[in-house]
Amino acid sequence: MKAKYIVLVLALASVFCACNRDEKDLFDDRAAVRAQKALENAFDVLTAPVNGWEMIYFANPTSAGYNVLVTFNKDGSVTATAKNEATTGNKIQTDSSSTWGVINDYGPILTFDTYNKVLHAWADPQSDGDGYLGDYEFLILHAEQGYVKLKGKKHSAYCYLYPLAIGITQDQYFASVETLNARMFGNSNLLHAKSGGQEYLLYGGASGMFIRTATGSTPDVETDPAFPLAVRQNGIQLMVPIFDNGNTKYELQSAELTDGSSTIYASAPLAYFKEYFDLAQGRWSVDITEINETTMAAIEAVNAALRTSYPKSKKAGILGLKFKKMTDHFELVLRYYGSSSTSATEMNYLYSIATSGNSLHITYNGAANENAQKVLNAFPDLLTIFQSLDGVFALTTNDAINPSNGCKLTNNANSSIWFNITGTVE
Amino acid sequence: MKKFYQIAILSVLLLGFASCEKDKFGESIFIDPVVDTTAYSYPFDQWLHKYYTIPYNVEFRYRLDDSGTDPNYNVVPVSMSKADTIAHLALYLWYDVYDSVAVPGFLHDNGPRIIQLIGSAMINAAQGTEKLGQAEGGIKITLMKINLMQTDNIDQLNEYIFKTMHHEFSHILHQKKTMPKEFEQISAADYNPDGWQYTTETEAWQLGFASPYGSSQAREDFVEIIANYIVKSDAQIERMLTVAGQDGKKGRAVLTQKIEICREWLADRWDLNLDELRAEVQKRQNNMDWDMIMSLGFLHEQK
Repeated sequence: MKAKYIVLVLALASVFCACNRDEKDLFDDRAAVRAQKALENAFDVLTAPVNGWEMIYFANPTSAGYNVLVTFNKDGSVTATAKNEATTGNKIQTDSSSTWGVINDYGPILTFDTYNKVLHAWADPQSDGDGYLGDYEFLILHAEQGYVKLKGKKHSAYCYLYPLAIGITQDQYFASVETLNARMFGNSNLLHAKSGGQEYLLYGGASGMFIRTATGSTPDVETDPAFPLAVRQNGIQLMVPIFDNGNTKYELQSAELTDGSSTIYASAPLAYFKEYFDLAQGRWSVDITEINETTMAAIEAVNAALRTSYPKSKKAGILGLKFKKMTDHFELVLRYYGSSSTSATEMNYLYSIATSGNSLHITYNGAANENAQKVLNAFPDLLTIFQSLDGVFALTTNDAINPSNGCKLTNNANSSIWFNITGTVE
Repeated sequence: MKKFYQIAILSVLLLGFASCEKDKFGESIFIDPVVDTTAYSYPFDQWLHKYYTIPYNVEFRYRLDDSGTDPNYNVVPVSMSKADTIAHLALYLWYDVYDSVAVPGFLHDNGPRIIQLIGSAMINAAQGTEKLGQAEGGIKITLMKINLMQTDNIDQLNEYIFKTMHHEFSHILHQKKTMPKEFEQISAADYNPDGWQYTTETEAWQLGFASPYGSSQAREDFVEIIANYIVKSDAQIERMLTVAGQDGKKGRAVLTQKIEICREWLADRWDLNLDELRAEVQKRQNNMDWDMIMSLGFLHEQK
């Protein structure tokens, strides 16, 4: 009897459970509907900007970034324009004869499904089967008015799209990118990055790739991590973040690049002067065309003496002065045309350079060798030049984001003694 | 007792079926496709529908879906202008040829259902090889390297495009009706599947293969015989046979034997006259009137 009741209770329980259809939906719509809406949203976002998009294209996770202007038309055609050394021979190239679409694969996919010589340049396998290992199909990770983030379907690099401001022409766009690129990365500029307690040295940006090393460490291009980047009109775009904050877009504001919470900057001029020798293996060239009157007069006197000594040489004269760092001292390299008009002569003169407080202490210590002394003896006005570079100087820069573009040294004791220097890497 | 349990179980089942509510179906989530007549590609798509889909039951795919390609290769799509050109050429040098020579409806019934174009080659750099085409399951032919097609060079068109089409279509035919066993025995000792790419053309001919690729395996040998015989001119065929037989090499005899087997197989199994097919192709190749060929379509111009 008891068994009967147990069976009956179990049977009734199973009936109620079987009919319990109350399940909470995780999503508002069915999967197919949500997929279709994602495609429609992507289409609307991509076709919205009046002046098209600025696309920062990374072919693969180890590739530098490239700037492409893209216009997605509602009729399914696409126009793309690029200018870079790698794929367009540094000329503006446009192709508007191809198609695009948003399709559903394992998510919304942006596809450039017929050939465009601008967009497919990085995906073309060329003769080695790989080419630049770039993509032409992208998973749409994020699409909203003003920002689109993509991920290459095969090679997994992120790409970013921002609306191009109305009124900006392609010529203006590429010119402004080139100008900022030259300004930021010319002369192998050294930069630092800081976010909260994290601080790094960034170098190599001119190649489209930041190499990141800990501040105070010796850079090692073999082991230091690399961060692909592209220069934009007013800043840079990284493919992946340098810091844990996840930010990849930096804008140039005054003297630094910032994402709102972290910054990329160059050291103050005095510190930069020193680290440029050590970390960039750079040299500082003295501008002998725009220099204080005393030194200029001495330069002209030396030039006149060289022309007198070498009357057959059409080019006799000083070519340049450059500070370089040796193991335990500095040298000023004097470069000039003497008897030969095709092969310049170099002579080295010893200096010590130290920083103290806010000043640069430069001390002339004589000729580096016998030949240099002979030249000094033959052209005594050189001593005036060398001694004018001896003193305590204040160091200011013309460009805080890249001091190697130009610094000015002004003698603290006599402000009429000044000279300009720029960084060079040989 | 037993009866009680039977009644209980039956009651449970009845209650279960009766008490559970049925789902109410909402509106369909599927969207009926609407042809967009303002689409950039609409004129070309309409042309393809009229000249390929309706008469030959073929989907001519020029827009590339990368998921439909071999993921081991990096490829790019075909350009629209090249797709347009090859679509017209394929009609002139292939589809219309079979319409002229074969029984009515031959290509409609036996041709590929899908022709896929890819702009680049599929390159295997490690082996030093590249794929120019492939046929899959008797349904799909993929043609590659279309972006590099030179329309003013019939030899290049043949080598990269039309020989490939005849090659791949012959695969479809022998996938539907097996190739003759006797053919596989002729060069059984000479096939070189791993090193064919190091065989020169002369070496291949003198062994009795129409091409180095034909020396890789029997089925490639078979279709290369057919494809080369169709597209090569009389002078090119004669040169191949002459070189094949030089210095007493067996190649001429073997090639002649293989061509005959192919001829008989096509006639017996497919009611297709190989020599008539070849003659029609040769006539058209020697009379390439581009205005006439392209007159029914359009070319996408650079904007």
